[in-house]
Amino acid sequence: MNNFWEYIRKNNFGLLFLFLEVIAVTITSVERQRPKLFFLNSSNFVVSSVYSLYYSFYSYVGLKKDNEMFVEEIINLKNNCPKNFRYVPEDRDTIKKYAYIEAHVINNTIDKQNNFLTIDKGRKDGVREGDAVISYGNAVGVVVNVSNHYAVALSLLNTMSGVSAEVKRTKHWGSVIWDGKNYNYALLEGIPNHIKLYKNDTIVTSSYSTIFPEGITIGYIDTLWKNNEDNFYTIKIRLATDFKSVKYVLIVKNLHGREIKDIETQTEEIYE
Amino acid sequence: MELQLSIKYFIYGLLLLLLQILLFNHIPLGTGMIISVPVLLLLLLPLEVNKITVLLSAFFFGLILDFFSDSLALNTAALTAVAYFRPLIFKIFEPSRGYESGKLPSAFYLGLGKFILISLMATFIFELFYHFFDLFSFKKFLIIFYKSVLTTIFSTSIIIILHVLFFRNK
Repeated sequence: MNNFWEYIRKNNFGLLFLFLEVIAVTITSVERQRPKLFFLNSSNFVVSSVYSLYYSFYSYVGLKKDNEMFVEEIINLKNNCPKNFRYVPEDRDTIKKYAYIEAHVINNTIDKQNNFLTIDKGRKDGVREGDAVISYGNAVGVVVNVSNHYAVALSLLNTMSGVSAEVKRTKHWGSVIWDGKNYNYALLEGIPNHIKLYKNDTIVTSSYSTIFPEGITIGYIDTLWKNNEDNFYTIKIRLATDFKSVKYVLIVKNLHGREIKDIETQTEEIYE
Repeated sequence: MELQLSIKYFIYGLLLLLLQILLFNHIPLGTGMIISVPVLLLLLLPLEVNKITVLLSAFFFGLILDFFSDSLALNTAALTAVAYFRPLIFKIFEPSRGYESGKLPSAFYLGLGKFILISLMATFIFELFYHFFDLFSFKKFLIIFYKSVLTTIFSTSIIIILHVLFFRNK
C-alpha cells in the first residue's frame, strides 16, 4: 500500500493527465448519447447570445445566396399560384395560364427614344417573343427578340410600346405610352373624362392584355387634365419601376397568348 | 509579475478563442475537419510554468472552447494531450546548452525551422486525439490518420502565420 501512494506521488503529472482525459472522454460519450446533459453545447443562454450577436453581423455575407434562394422560391410560388390556373370542364382538368422564368438584366438604356433591355435568358431557357418582363411585381417591358441564350425586351420607355392598362380602383381601361421625355413618367390615354380620378390612383395592366398578367402595377397617377376636344383625360403617370436600377426581372409567359391571338385574327379575317 | 503574465495569457487565450469560434469553426475543410489554432496558446506559454498548471489550464481552456463550438469535449481531450506531451516535445528540441530562463519558446528565440517542427508535432498530437475521440474506433485508424495529417498541415500553417504576425516582438 505504501508503494502505491509513493507511485502516485511520483507520477502525479501522468495520473492527472489520465484523470482529465477520462473526464473529457466521459463527457464526450455521454454528451453524444444524451445531449444537453453537461450543457457543453450552443443551446445555452450565454453561448447563444454570443452567437446571435455574431450572426447579426455575419449574415450579411450570405445575403447574395439568400436572395438567389428567395428568387427561386418566388418563381416556384408564382408558377404554382392558383391565379395561374383555370379549370376547363371539357378537359376535366385545370390548365395553367402563366409560367415564370427569372432573369438578370445585363444591358439597359433609358436615354434614347427607343429603349431596350437585354436579358440573360433566351430561347433555350424557354423565353419567346411576346413574353412580358416584370420586376418586383411592376411592369418593365415586352420581349421582342430572342436568341439562343439572350433576349431583348422593348422597355416601357419606348415610344413604340403600348401597354393595355386600367385604373385599379375603377377598372376603366386605356393604353400606357411613353412620350420620350422623362424616364420616370409615362402617359395613360383613353380614359373618358367623366370618371373621377385622383392623384396617386394605381394604374395596373388590364385583363385585355395578352402579354401581361392582370393586375401588374405600371405606375401611379401624377397629374391629369381634361381634354376639351375629345372627352378623354390626358394622364401623366409616375412609373412604378425604377428603370435606372432594374436588375432582377421575371419573364412571364402567357401560355395561351398565341391561342388568343390566333382566334382574334381569325375573327377579324371573317368579318372584314 | 506573475499576475501580469496570467492576464497576458488570459487575453491571448481569449483572442484565440474568438478567432477559433468566430472564424475557423466556420471554414469546413471536409467532414469534421476544421482548422484549430488553440494549440498556439500552449506553445507560447513560458517554459518555466509548472507542467501541472499547463495541464489544468489546457483542460479548462478546452472546456470553454467546447462550450462554444458544439464539439462535445473533443477540444478538451486533445488540448490536455498536447499539454501532457508538451514537456517531451520541448525536450526533443532542447538546445545543447539548455533553454535560457525567462525566454518564450517563440520562433524568434528557437528559430523558425525548430518552431515549425514543434508546432507540427503539437498540432499533430492535437488533431490525432481530436479525431480519435471523434470517431472513437481503432478500426477507422486510416481515416483518423488521414484526417489528422490533412488538418495538421492547414492548422500548422495558420498557427505559424498567426505567430509570426502577432507575437513579433516577444
